[in-house]
Amino acid sequence: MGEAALASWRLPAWPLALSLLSAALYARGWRRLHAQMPERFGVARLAAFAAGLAIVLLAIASPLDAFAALLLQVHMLQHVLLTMVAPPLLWLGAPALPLLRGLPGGLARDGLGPFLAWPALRTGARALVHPLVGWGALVLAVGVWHLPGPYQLALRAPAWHELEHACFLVAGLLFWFPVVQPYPSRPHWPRWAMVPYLLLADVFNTVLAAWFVFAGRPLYAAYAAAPRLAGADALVDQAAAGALMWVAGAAAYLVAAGAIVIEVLGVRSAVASASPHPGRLPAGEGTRAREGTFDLLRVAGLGRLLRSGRARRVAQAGMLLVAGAVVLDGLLGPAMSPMNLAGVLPWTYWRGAVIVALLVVGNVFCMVCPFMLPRELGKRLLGARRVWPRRLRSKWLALALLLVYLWAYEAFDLWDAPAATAAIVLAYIGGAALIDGLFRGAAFCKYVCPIGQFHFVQATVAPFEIRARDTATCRTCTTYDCVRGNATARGCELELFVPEKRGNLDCTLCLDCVRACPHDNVGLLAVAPGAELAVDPPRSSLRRLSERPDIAALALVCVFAAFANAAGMLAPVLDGEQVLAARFALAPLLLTTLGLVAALVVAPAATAAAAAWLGGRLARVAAAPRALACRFALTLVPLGLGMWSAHFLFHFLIGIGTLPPVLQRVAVDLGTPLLGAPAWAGACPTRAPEWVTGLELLLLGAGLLLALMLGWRAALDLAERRAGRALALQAPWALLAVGLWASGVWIVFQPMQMRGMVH
Amino acid sequence: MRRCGAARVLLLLCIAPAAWADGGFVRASERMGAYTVTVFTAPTPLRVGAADVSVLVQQPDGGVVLDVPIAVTMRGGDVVLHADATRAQATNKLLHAALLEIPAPGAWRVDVRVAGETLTLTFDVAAAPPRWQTYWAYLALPFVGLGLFIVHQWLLLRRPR
Repeated sequence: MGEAALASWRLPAWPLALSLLSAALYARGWRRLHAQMPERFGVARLAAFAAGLAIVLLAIASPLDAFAALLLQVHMLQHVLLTMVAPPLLWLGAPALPLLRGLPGGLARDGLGPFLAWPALRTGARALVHPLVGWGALVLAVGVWHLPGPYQLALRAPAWHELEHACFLVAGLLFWFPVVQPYPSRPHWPRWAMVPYLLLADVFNTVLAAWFVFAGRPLYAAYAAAPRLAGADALVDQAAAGALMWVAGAAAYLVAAGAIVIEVLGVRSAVASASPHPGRLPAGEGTRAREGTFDLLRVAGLGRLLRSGRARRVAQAGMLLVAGAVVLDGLLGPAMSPMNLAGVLPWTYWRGAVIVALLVVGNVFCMVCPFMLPRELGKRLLGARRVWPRRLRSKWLALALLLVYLWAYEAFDLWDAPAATAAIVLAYIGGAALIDGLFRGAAFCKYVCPIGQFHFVQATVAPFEIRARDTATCRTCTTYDCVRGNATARGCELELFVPEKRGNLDCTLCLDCVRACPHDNVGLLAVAPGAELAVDPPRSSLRRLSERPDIAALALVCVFAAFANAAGMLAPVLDGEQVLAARFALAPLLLTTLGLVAALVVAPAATAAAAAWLGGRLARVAAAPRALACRFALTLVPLGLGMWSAHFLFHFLIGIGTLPPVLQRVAVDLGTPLLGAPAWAGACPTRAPEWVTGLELLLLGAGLLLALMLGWRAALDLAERRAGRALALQAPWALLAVGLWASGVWIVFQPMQMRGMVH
Repeated sequence: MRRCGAARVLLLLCIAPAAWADGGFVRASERMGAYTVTVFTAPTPLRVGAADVSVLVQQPDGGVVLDVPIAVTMRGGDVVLHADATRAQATNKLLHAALLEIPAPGAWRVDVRVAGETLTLTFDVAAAPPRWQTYWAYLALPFVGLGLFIVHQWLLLRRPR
């Protein structure tokens, strides 16, 4: 029984994620503060904060939570931990400064800065931590939630139970704030006033605990009805709960009161030194201090690996081998997509992995592109002497190819056609080798590759970017090796000059510029995702994006395709297609073609034109509608990425078990019984857990929020910071974004049909 | 079933609406052969969709019995659902939980079979709530973020340039 009890852990995703994030931020900030103020931010503070977080998790995730519904004393222990143990520990960690210093510098300064400087918020926060508020909050929360009605409501419904625990934790934090008075806050009352404050709380606690102990009848029907574990009677259980509340409360309140008495009397104690008198920030210290930007290439081990040309070659060769396996199995293996590498690897694994990489790092697809080696082989064989035609130096050709690819995907059910998938990979290899064999530079990547363009667009919202570490160093540079190359490394094949490069468009993350720079001045730096889309500076090799309708069109197609591609899997859409086909006697291929033209060409062009025209009219700005459309089209990219991520991650997460049986089948086909017989049950449909839907909605919501934020910043820029005009300018685009988001929510809420896919 | 066991079931069913464990109501507690068996269900109230039927098996002295083969069968109209209740599926490892997908609202009869004895219960299952009710917090999140952004921008714009 003991073993079973100890095994009853439940890890709630959100509290766990928040705790881990808080711990990471605190540790990062504490490390910096510890280096500057080792006495004020000693190891004890770190330990106290970590212990506080651990206690919160212990209360809500450990077997305590699983047994709280069966035993009142266990439930009471949860409450004690949340109100009396975790809050003082968290405040002893003096978390305000470490958490702020742990944030990326730009986010703390530009994101939180205006809030922290807002007088109304400061006044409100100061009122919230007033001792009267803290005392009242604790008494109210503990008193009300222990009444039979609310208590049983919490026992019946998990949502109310979680609210009850949140109330206890918040009330505990408010109560303990003036007691601990964490640095650098200033007290409302003199220190000695905390002694009666704590003693009065103890009186209330004692009265409540005595009610439990001496009630003489079960106070909560739920515990009277619950099965008795190990023969513990309901009344005995209730009395034990009351005793626990009594003893724990007295210990917490009286020990704290005693420590304050000692502190007031001027006697140094361990408690007093752990909660120092508040004071002002020392000169030069504070949240506005600029932090060094995080550089992925300076992470020990990882940076060296990323910079290594050899490691990149190995990764590309590995991907080429995988592509070869997909081609062979696609052409020679079973026609059933779920049984074939060409059905599982590209459409379930590769798309999911690439989208995760985009969200976490950036355009990793191009970094390890399997077509790089065929390209270079082509260059060696054919000489690459021609110059790419001037009239084709845009994204129009690639956009047309992307539209053809999206059309082929729907029209020929590529996810369910291993042979066609193999043919596409072969065509890609041949095309890359031929085009880059004939033309100089990376013409295929820059002007032709439709999948590369897709990743270029999505990577504009990636959290990392190739940039100069110090622009002053670039100003003194006379050789421009990052773009021209030198004897040891080639320069950027896509003609991006690092000091003038803005954003991730056209960047394949090849890191040639990093290796070529003689000053070691190029890094893979953390950036605010999408920030470059809100401004319109001249960009190396791209000019201003407001002058590039081809890039705007590419972005719009990528956004609208995200929704059309996901909708194409849904029962209502498929049913609608069948109804239309029957009514107008249309062939399925023609119907699909017309539908895609409407969704990917007519709808983006019409809505963008209308929004640009209407916004321009409403705001009366000088910019032409075409330039407005070019600017605002790019701000929708995060919304598209949100939908692509939700869609691809759905397949990835529920189809993650599909590869092993296919590998087993391939091994059997090769005559190797090493992996055993294919366990096809693993490739069967798995029901998406509830949290997958939550994750999809989160990604979609984050995309909407970022799109609206970028749109607003672009509008402010175009309206010369006049808020009213900016609002009018953005309004049609905001409506379009909200409409797309709503359609995405509808898509997420539909059961996926998975035509031909087993997941 | 012994008479005192039936009386206890009746008593428990009267006060059951207040009881909850491992994410569910106490639906019944009955002496079955050598064991006392308590059945919980979640969510409360039961709705179309995922449902959890958890079972606690105890000896007469209150000691908990682990790893007993337990089968749960639900019948509603022509539909029959079956699942084994295991400790692996339970959050509280003293319980055995069976996860079932209830396809339709209405009255459902549930048979819980423990060590050769069968306990029969009847549940009313409500229709599933609209999905936005389940995910309203996720849907509200971007607009909460937008509200913060609006305040942020308002604070920035009112600063003297």
